[in-house]
Amino acid sequence: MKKWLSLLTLLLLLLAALTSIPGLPPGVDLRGRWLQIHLIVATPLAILIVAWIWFHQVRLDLVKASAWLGISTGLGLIVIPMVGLTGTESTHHWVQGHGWLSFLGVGLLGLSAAMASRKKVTELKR
Amino acid sequence: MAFLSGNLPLLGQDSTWKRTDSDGPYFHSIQLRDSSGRVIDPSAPDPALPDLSATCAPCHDVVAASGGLHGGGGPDGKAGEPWFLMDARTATSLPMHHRSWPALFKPVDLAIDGASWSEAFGRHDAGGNAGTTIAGSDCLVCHLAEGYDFAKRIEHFDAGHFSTAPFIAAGLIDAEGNYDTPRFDSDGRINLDLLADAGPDACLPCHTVRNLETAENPRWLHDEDIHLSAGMTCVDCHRSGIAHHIVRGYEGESHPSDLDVSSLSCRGCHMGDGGGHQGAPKPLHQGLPPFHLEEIHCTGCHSGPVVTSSAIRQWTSRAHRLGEPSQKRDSTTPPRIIASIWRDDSGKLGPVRLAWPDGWGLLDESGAIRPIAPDLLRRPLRKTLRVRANLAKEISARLSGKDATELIHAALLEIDESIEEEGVPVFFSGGRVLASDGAGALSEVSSDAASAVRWPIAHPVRPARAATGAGGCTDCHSSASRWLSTAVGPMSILPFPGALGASSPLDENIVDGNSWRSWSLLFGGRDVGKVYFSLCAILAISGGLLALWRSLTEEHR
Repeated sequence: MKKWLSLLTLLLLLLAALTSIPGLPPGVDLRGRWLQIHLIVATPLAILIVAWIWFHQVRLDLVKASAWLGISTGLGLIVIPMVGLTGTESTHHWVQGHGWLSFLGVGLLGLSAAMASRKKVTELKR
Repeated sequence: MAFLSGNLPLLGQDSTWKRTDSDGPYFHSIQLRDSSGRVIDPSAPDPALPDLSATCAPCHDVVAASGGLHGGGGPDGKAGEPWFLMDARTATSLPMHHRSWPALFKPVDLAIDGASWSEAFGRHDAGGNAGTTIAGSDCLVCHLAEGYDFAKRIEHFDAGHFSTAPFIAAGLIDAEGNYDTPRFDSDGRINLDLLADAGPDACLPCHTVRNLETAENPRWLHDEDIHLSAGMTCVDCHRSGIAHHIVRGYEGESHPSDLDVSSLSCRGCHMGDGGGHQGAPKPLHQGLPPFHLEEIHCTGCHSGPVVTSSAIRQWTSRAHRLGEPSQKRDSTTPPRIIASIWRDDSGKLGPVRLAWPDGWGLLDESGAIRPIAPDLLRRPLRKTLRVRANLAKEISARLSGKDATELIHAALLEIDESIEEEGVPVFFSGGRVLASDGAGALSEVSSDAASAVRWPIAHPVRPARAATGAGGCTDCHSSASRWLSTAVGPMSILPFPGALGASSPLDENIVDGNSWRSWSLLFGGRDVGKVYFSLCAILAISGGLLALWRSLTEEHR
C-alpha cells in the first residue's frame, strides 16, 4: 500500500476520533454538524480501513492486528443501528460501543507505533 | 397500627359525601330539586324549575366538582385552546382566556362579565366557579351517557336559558319549563344514565378538532384517535377526582393535587422503564437516532399536520361551534386556525395551532392595545361603513379592486369621535396593527397585539404505522417534505397596501436551516450509504479476524 494512502488513513482515523469528541460524555450522542463531518470523514475512511487490513495482512503483529480488529468491529457496530435493526433506546449502546471500540483500536495503534519506535531506537543504539 | 388506622385520611371512611366505593356504576334514580334544595314533584301543578347544583348536592361535593382545571380553576399551566370572541358585524375575532397564557386578550379588557361570558361561550363551557361564567356547572353534559342533545344546549344557551339549558338538552323539561312527566315515577324519581366516565361521546362535543375537508381528502377517509379506536376513553388518561383537576397529560405537568401524574403523559405511559403502562405498547422507534426523542414531542410525529402536506386549516368545537347543525360553516368560516409546527418553551418541537386576531382597539401611550368590545363598535361602524351583518364580506364587495384604506380610516376617525376612552383607535388584522396617519391614510403601528396565538396539538393521535417517519427518514429529511418549509402567515380580512408577513418554521429558526438542508441532501444517498458501510464492515471485520489469526499463529511458530 502506498505510503500516502497509509498516512491518509491514519489522518482520517484521527479526524474521525476528533470529530466524535462532541458526542462525549457518554449518553450525549453525536449530532448535528459534528455528526455530518464525522460521516463525511468516515465515508472514505471505511474503504481505506478495508484496504489497509487486506494489504497489510501478513505484516501485522498481534497488537496491530488487535487494533485493526477493534476499529473494524467498531465500524460493524455502527452499521447495526444505521440499517435500522435497533430501537431508539438500545441505539445508545450500539453508538457508544462503536465509539469506545474505535477509540480502543486507535489507542492500540498508538501503542503499537510507540512499541515499534522504541524497538527502532534500541536497535539503533546497538 | 395506630399510624395506619388513626392518622391516614382513608377516603372511603372519611368522606362527607355518599360513596358506593364500587368500580361498578351507581344506578341514578334521582329526584330533581329546585334552587332551594326542595324536591320537585313534576306532576304537581306549576312545579318549580330544577337546579342542577341542588339536585346533585345531596350526594356529591358540587362546590369542589365545579372548580378544578376543567371548571377554570387551578394553575394556568401550559397554554391551551383560547376562546374566540366572534362578531361578524364588527369583524372581531379575538382569542381570549382568563388564564395568563401568552398573546391572549383578557375578558376583563372587553368588560366581559359572567353573564356576557355565558352568552358568548356558555354553549361549549361546562361551567364552573372560577368567576368567568354565571352558568353553574352542567354535570349532565359530561356525565349523562345517553340522551343529551348538545345542539339543543347550544340553542338554549344562545337564547340565554343558562340554568335550564342542561335540563332541556337532557330532555327532562321543555323550553317552557314543562316536565316530561312520563319519565318520572310516582315518587318523582327519574332514571338517568349518569356515569363518572360517560365515554368519548361526552367529551367530543366540546373537544372535537377537524381538518378541513377537501375533495381529495374527505372526512370519511379520516381516522379517529388511535386510543379511541383501541377502545380507550378520554378519561383513561385525562383523569381526575371529584375536584375535576383533569390531568392535561403533557410532560412535566404539575398537578394541583401534588400527585405524580407523569405516567398519564404519552412518554410516561408508553416509555416507562419497565415497559408501557398497563401493557401500552412500548415503541422501539427502530433506526431513529435517540436525540430525536429529546428534541421532538411525541405529538411531533404522532399528531398534528402530516409532513408531506402544507399547513392545514382546522375547525375546533369551541371556535367554530361544532355540534350545532349549520349549513353556513365552510372553509372560510372564521377564526382561521392553522396547524403547524413550533418549538415551545421547553425547547422541543411539536405541532401547534395558530390563529391571528382581528378587531379594533385603542393604543395607549405605553404602546399597549386595549381591544374595543363589539357592542361599542356597532354604532360608529354602522354610521361610517353602513354594515348590516358581516363587515368583511360587505366591505369587500364594495371595494371593486381598491384597498380598504379609505373606509377603515374613516371608521377609525368615527371611533375616535364616539368612544370616550383614552387612546388612539387602531384596526388589527392579518398580523398588522393600523392607525390613522392623520393625512387620510393608514400607518402600521409596531405592536404584538396582532401577533399569532399558539397552542399545542395533542389529538388525534396517529399510530406508529401512520406516524411521521413510518416511511423512513426521508419522511422529514427530504426536499419533498414541507412541514418545516411551508410558510404560514395571517390573512387580512380586508385588503390593504403592503405584503403580509408569512414565515415558515425554518424562517423562524426553530431548527438550523443550513443543517436541515444539508441533512436532506445527505439522506438522498442514505440507502447507498447503508450498503457501502455494511460491505466495508464485513470486509474489515473478516480481514481483521484473519490478520489476528495470522499474527497469533505467526507468534506461535
